Amino acid sequence: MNPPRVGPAVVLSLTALLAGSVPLKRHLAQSAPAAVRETFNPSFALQALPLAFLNHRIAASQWLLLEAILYILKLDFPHYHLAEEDDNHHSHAHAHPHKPGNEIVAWTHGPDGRDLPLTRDQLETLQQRERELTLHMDRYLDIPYFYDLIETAALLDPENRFILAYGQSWVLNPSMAREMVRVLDTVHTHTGHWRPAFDAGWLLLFTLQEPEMAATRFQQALADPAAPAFVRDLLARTFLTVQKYEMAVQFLLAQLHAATDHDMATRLERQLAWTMDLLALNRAARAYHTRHGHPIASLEDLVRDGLLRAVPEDKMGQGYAWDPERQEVFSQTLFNVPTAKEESPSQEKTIRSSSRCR
Amino acid sequence: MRNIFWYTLIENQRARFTFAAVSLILAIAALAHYSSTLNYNAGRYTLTALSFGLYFTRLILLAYALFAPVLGLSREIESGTLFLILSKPTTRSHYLLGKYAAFLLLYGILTVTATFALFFLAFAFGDRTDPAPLRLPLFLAAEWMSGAVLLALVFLLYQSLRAPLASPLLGAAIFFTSYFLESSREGAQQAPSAFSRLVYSLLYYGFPNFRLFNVERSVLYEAPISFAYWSGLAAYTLLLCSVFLGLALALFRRREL
Repeated sequence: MNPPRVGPAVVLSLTALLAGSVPLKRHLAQSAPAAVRETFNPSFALQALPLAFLNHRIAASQWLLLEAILYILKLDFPHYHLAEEDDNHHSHAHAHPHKPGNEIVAWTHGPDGRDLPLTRDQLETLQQRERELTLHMDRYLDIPYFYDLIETAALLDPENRFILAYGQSWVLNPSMAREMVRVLDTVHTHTGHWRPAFDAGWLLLFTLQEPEMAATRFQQALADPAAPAFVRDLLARTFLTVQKYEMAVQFLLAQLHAATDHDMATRLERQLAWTMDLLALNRAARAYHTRHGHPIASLEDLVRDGLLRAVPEDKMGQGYAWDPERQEVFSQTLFNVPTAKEESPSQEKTIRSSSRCR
Repeated sequence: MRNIFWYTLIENQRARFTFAAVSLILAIAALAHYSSTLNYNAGRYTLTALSFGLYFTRLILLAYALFAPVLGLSREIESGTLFLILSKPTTRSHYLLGKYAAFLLLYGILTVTATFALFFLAFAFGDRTDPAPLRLPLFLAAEWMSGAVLLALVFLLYQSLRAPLASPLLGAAIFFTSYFLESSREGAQQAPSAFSRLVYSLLYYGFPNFRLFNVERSVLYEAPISFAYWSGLAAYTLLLCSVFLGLALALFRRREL
């Protein structure tokens, strides 16, 4: 038998390939799972080599995470731990442990992995470097690049909570906090999960001191039905922080109507009563100011002036008090009671008078 | 054909290709185990071990499918063994198909080894309530089909190019390019001119698409794969293998040795 001619064989094969491929690929495109149908994202491929090979998201994500870790480790951040009292007695490595200024005050890691003792001067030098790196990290590293790596890694593997947690662990100054908020916002937009929005709100509230922006993030987090109850609590408290008492009351009322669980409803009722007390106290304080032309000195002024029958009992905090700086009544908690140094004499007096009231 | 099949298996064993691939797969399993125990993968042992394991296993299997047959065939031609074989009462078709069957079996053995190693890891160290390892046979089936197409493609490329290094490289290029084909599907529907739509359509329907065999994420995250998809995939495998092997046979029968 003569061997077949190649030209007709090629034409025949290609025709068969196309004729068979068209219906088969249409069928496969319809019945394929979403992971197979997904269009390849070239922007990920440029950043993550494993993805360029096999569209493998977890491997690519870990590759980027490793890159981010190695990038930040370039900084050579100082590591040390403070010494125990016994360290000066038991250490043979140090020549003159009892000489003033020569005591071991801390330990650091030597190049061979062993612990190295640090004197007070050496520790101060290390701490100075730590402060410099903390405050001006952007002088030494490309911060947006680091957070871009974190963002892409988190988008590739949204189930891995470590990635965002790692990014947040390096938030050392406001510019890094802003970058991290950007990352968390993007991840929340893509996943719709409550956690990134909540973390962004947390950073905005406590690190960047922007409660209004924080409130929007907590609201976004609450859009996820899986968001736990403390997000709602934090949002209500954030509204209070920004003096949006009316908004907080409305929010809590809406939550109360939607509550199906008895415990949750009881808790919301308590929180609502407390918020309404704060709303009433602040409204009375404003009325006092309008009437007399000056703010109240203590909450008892409101009672004396007939604006309130009595100062209500603070059922969630440690007593209501007047903050003359912010010109508002607030509920004292472990977090917002001014320290002895910061307290002005008038403020101290106000807090005490409020406690007496209770 | 049966003799060629057995002879290829023995030759492969002598060349230690399969032995090297099995060793690599076991090393990958160890690497997957190690990476899964790192602190940033805490609580996700099974997912990470399977994910790493499957990813690197696919790379090894890909390298094996691209290089082992080409190296084996070219060595036989260079050493003159092929002339000896073909002087016996056997046809070129039988020779090529026997080789293909042997490499397909070896590819299958490697896939089973990798699957078994990963299953063992997940069972021994992972969360035993996680059902992901039980879905590993799906990976095995898809990978075997992918291997069948890839081996047929490599046989065809070797017969057309006749260059031992160029065929695996072109095979790898086709393999990775096929991962972008889903984008050309969009182009086939949305491109502005009729000509570009035709080009995109030819690209989408005519190019072998290895992306369709990549079911790892479905295996890992329990995305259901319908029976319709499996049957379509099997038919697609048969179509591609028949076309590629048919062409390879046509070229090999006309080839001057």
